[in-house]
Amino acid sequence: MKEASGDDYTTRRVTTRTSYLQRALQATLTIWLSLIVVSIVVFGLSESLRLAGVESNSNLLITFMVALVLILLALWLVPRSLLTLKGE
Amino acid sequence: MMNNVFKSGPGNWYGHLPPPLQLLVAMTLVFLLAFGADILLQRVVELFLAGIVEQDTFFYSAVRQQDAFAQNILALIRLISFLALAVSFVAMLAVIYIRFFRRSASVPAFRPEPKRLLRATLLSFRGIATVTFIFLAVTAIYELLLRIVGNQPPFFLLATLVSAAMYVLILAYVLFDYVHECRIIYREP
Repeated sequence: MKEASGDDYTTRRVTTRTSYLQRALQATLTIWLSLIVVSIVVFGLSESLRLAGVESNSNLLITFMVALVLILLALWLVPRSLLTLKGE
Repeated sequence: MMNNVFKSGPGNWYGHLPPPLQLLVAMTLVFLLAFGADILLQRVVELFLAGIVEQDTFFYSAVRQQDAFAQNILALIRLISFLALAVSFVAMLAVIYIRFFRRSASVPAFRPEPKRLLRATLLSFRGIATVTFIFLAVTAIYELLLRIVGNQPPFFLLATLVSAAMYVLILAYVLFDYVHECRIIYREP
């Protein structure tokens, strides 16, 4: 009986660890994907502004402001549990 | 290890502290960790930006001007994040003081729940550490890409600013979530 309870505890511990690792990997991929998408979009915007003849500092400032809005949008869309790495 | 802590409950010294002190210790530790993690990541991002500036030495002056401007924006992000951490910590101290020490006699006492508080604190620790590690890894990958493909102005510059801003916002959300959980734990009965 005691042995069965010990096995149960070990299984639960391994499951918890695996599930945490899965969540951490999922969070890494999600955050990285959001970063890549935002970076590519703002890079496109930056190039467009450059071709339109906008001065370099204003270009960077406008692009950064747009990036902030996109980041907030991405964080709003991502599930909260992925940001805090807690279970549902 | 964390499961063992949850299973055994709070240690002797922590469990015997008065509730306001338990909350104060837990919050101070979480905010200190967040502050340390923020300093670490901002420093790494700053070094990455310095690497970009170094590669831009031979570019035309507009690119170097943009680099200098990006460094100013990064300094602003750092300043805002430190200020936000400091202000929210002071606000938390004020809330603890008002809730625990300026309570009127008619309001019943709070229910101390050290085990739940410890669990929330450890989960917050784990969240902050993991998010910081993720962003350190992402910055390291960008650094590697910069060394391999060379600088493509202003792609890496923007990637740096975007990741620094995103980290600060996620850190703020993790802290907000922790404070929210503490409010639930110490809600009035």
